[in-house]
Amino acid sequence: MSRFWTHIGGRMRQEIQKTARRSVAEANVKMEAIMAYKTLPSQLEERIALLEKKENQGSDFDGVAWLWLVGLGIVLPAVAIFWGFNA
Amino acid sequence: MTTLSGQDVAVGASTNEASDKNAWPMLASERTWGSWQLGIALATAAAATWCYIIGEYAGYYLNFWQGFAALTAGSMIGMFLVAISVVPTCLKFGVDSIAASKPQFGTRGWTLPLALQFVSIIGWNSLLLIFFSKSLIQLLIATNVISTDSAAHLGPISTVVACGLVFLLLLGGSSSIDRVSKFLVAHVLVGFWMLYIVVSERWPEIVSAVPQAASPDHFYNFSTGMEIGLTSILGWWPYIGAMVRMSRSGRTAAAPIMIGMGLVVPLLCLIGIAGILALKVADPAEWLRTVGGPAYGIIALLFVTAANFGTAIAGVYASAIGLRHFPSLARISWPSLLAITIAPVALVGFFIPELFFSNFGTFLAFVGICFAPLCGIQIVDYYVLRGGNISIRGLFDGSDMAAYRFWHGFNPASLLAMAVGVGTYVYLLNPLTYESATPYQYLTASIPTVIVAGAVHWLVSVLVIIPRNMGSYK
Repeated sequence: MSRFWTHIGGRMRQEIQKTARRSVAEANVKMEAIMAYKTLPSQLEERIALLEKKENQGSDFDGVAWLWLVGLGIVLPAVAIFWGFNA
Repeated sequence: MTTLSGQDVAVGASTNEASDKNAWPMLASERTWGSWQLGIALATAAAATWCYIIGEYAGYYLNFWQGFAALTAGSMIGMFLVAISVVPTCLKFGVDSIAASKPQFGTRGWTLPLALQFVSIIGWNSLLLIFFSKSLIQLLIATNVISTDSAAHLGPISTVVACGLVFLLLLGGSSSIDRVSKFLVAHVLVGFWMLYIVVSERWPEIVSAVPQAASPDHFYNFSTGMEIGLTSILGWWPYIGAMVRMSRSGRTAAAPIMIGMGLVVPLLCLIGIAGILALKVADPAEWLRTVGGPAYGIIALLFVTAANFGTAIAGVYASAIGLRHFPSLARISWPSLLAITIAPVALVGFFIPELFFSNFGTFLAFVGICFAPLCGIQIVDYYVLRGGNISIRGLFDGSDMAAYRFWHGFNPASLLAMAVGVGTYVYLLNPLTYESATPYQYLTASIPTVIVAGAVHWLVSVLVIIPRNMGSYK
């Protein structure tokens, strides 16, 4: 008798696990559909293909840009801290 | 595979929805903003009511010159961190801040930065448009258009009308921001004029004033001034991508970012510092009436009204572009998306403006602390781990084989780094009570947070992520 109940319990556990796995998988598919493109729309695909070529991309910060960034983002604050702390 | 030129794709996109109204990447040929246009748009977005609120907070701890120095240092360091973390990817591929976060957070994990962006921008926009409505009502009372009795009922209605105006103006996409900015940027000049008035009229009181909440620890006061500037400017993370993607090179964008969005803030904050020190009131609409009479008060109200409106337009635009990353929202029309983006602001402004006001600080404090770790993670990921190489396909590909798939679409390294970063910030500075722990008084809270979050991201990536060939690191 106890083997019977162990068997039933085992089957029930398996069924619950199977159902839970299926629900997680379904939720997973739904989440994917909401959050990301599985296949890219054709216009976006064309746009990406063009942007993979360097001539269609914008350019990163160059030497002049870094001069502005470092001058105003590091040197100016350093001067401001030194001056302000002694003001 | 069809072979089209950049021009063809631009034309193709315009038949459906203009490229500046979706989150798709923009070709260099489609990006038309030069340095001046970008600088004006960024300055118009940066200059708003928060400038004198930020100034007011700094004025509680520091005198006029110290407050200016601390806010300048904090704001410019904050702007530097935001610029180097998110801008390079946005410039290279013409994408917004959310797309630029996908290499760090993954094909699903990007929803975390999006949630932060949405909550932050909606929160700020609710505040700005409620302020806009309050200033408009004061303006109408000052010019005798309405009576004080009818003003109470007009508040919620004028917030909804302001939302309607933002909606109508943004129907034209980024070109509307450009047009409106050229007109509204005048308020920045009005701000400097107001500063001149208060400084020239009340200089002896300003320089002799003692900050109301200054601690005996001078390091703490200065660090707090810097932290106020840092946190405020780190909050530009959600806005900046949608704006700089209209520009095509780092050289064009660097100076406008640092000056237009960075330096304008501490300069306009001087209005708030001077106001709180000399007149114990930061709101220029109140103290300009005291200093210069009703006419000056009306000019100040016009400034506040215009300033908040310009920022709200930029915020709603950035938020709408961010929402486009959901495929379901990528397909809906631009007016519908704008309506979805503005609706929460209109609802808050109409139903719970006072409740929102009283709890706004709590809400924003916890949102604000998330942008420091975000910057640290992006800086380490872009410069140290990827050497500046980002896959444009990976930013939009959500398939199982995607470059930034990581682990079920999430990058454990960045998520752990975010958690540790937020923990570091809260340990160093409780954003609600402003209780601090060493070394806050020497280093602020945001700077160590950026470093700790970046270090955790690097460590976990090197030890766990890269050896498992996740995330397309080379």
